[in-house]
Amino acid sequence: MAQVNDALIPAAAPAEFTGNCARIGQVSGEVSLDTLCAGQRARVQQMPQDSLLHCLGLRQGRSLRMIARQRFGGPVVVELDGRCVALGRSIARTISVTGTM
Amino acid sequence: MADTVLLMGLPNVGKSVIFNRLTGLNVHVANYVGTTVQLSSGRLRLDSRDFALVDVPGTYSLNASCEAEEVAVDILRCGTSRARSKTTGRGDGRGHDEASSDRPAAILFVVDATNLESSLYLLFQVLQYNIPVVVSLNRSDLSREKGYQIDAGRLSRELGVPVVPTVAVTGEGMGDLKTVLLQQAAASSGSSIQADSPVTWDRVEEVCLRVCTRVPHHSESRRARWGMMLTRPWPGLPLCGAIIGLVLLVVVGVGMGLRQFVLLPVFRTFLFPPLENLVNQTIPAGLLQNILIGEYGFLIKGIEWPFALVLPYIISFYIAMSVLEDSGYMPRLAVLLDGLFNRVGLKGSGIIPLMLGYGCAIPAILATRALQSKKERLIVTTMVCVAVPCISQTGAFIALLSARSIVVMLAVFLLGAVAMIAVAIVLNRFMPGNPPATLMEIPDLLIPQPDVLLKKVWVRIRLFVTDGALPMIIGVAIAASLYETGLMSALGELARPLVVSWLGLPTDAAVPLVLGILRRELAVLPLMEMDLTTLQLFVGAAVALFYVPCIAVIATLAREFNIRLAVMILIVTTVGAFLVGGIILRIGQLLM
Ligand SMILES: Nc1nc2c(ncn2[C@@H]2O[C@H](COP(=O)(O)OP(=O)(O)O)[C@@H](O)[C@H]2O)c(=O)[nH]1
Repeated sequence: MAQVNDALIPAAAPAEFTGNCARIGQVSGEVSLDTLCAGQRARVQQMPQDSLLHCLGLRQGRSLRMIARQRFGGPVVVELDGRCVALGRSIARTISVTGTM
Repeated sequence: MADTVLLMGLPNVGKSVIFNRLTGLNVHVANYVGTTVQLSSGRLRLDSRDFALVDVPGTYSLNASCEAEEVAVDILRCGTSRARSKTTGRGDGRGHDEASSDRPAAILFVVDATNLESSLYLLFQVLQYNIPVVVSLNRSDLSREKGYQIDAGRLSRELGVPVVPTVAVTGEGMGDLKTVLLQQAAASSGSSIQADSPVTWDRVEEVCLRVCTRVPHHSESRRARWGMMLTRPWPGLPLCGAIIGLVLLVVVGVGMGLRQFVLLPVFRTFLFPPLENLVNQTIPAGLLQNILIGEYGFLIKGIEWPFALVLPYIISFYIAMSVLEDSGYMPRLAVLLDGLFNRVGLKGSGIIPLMLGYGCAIPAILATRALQSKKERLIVTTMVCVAVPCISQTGAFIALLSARSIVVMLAVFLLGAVAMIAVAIVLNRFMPGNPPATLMEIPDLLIPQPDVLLKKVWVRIRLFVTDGALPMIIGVAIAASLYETGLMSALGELARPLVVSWLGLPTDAAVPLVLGILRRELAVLPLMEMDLTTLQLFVGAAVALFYVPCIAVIATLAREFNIRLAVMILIVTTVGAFLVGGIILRIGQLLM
């Protein structure tokens, strides 16, 4: 259930259904993907070695743009190399990124 | 047996469109043994040679990490024989079996030009099987629009296999594809270049860099901007409400218009009078004549109900559904609503079978195969069977209620929606497990092609005529016979305690309850011929809504799941329908 997932959101992001995202502007240091705000760009630093994630374009060193954070605790949508991928928050949380301009 | 050509590629690259272009009407669909994966196979004629073109399920890799990938690997190794002979077990399909006569003659690999990298990763894995490959560089129109330039000649040299640029939806490149395919099928081995080295993303990225250039500062198309807008909660969520509202309006509006202004007048002026004349002249007045053209007149109602009452809604519903499907809007809907669906143990992708259910429960149940967990499948299937009226029944509700009471009509549909949510909540409580997290690609928004769309709608209409109209006509024939022979009143007497005392309906209302088992709308339509009060209409409609899904759905349940589930649904729907009907009557009586 969504509530279970939300309870796992790190302390930095209060457990609201929409979640909070990092401040607009430069993301500093490594953060998890689910904390990016819509419109922010970032580069993948660390992520699970998952075949499907790789096939969807999520690989180390890849740059991406946050497109949308869905309501009701729904997935985040990122754009990678011209394609859009939706990732449940629990998956996005396992991917760490650094902000780029 | 004809040699096989496999059609392979990522999900959503246009394989179905290519399959339809290359094969004729004689398409054979079979389950791959021991799995829920379906394979379509059609005849592909190249020059004078016949091949069987097999549409292998679209996957991202051959890592055997899901059922579809396992099937794809199995087919590459041992051919497609298991798709046909259902008795062979699987399990021994692991080792290479080069000598198998069933080995595919060639592979038609569809590359998505807008998604070159992922396509090439899968293609490299396929090339390792040493089967002749022809590449169709599809969606090349879309990749040009996005500002990519792909050098097909260079790609062909890099891969060591022929590459044909195509645009499946317009048919561009299909002729070349056939020519090259015939040449390759005569060859005995695949690419010598890429076969041996291991497949890594680095290698894939290198090839992509060499063959693909991107026009700098390419501006985003209007379609792409709309695609983004519909994906973001704002304005995507309000637009989602507007789109669903519009779909309802189109389905009901076009359906009612077709019935009222086209089909009914045509039937009533040109078909029924001569039919009645003919029967009057050839068959003496009496039982048989009454069965044919009397109150339940089999020749009249048996034609009017399926073709003037239900067919218009079949047409309007499937036009609207096909537009939603072909435009790429459905995945956006799934993503927007994913969070809400999570709360009842589902993922957003559950919306797709649910919406299909408003057309017919059978394709909806089959579509639940795409859901990842057994729990999701069970919840969505039960929701559809218990509370989602099929389009035929919806048409019947509209015919029965729209003229009498719009309020009752809306109340019936609202009741269905509430019950649907209640079913999900209850089942989620009692079944353990959470749905796996969502992970999916959202395809580009596309403008549906009218000819592809019309073909889809046409297939549905044909299916309705063969599978839907016939049982309905038989149902009307049974009703006519029961009515005219007086058996109906006997039946009514038998069911009196339930129908009259508990539900407050006239004895005749036992008939729709019997016929409803045959087809859902037959639980509604006979009510039209009775003189009911508004409260009785509501009770009758509510009972029909929750009553057993038709017999074909029960059979599908038994086949797709097991007899136990089919029997459970049968019991739950029957008991539930009478319970709800009786309660509505009593509440209504209290209020009036
Ligand atoms: N513009 C364009 N659209 C295409 C092309 N090929 C397929 N499509 C569209 O892409 C979508 C996916 O195609 P489909 O055949 O269903 O994909 P499948 O999952 O591979 O079977 C459909 O909406 C097609 O109309 C193409 O070459 N150009």
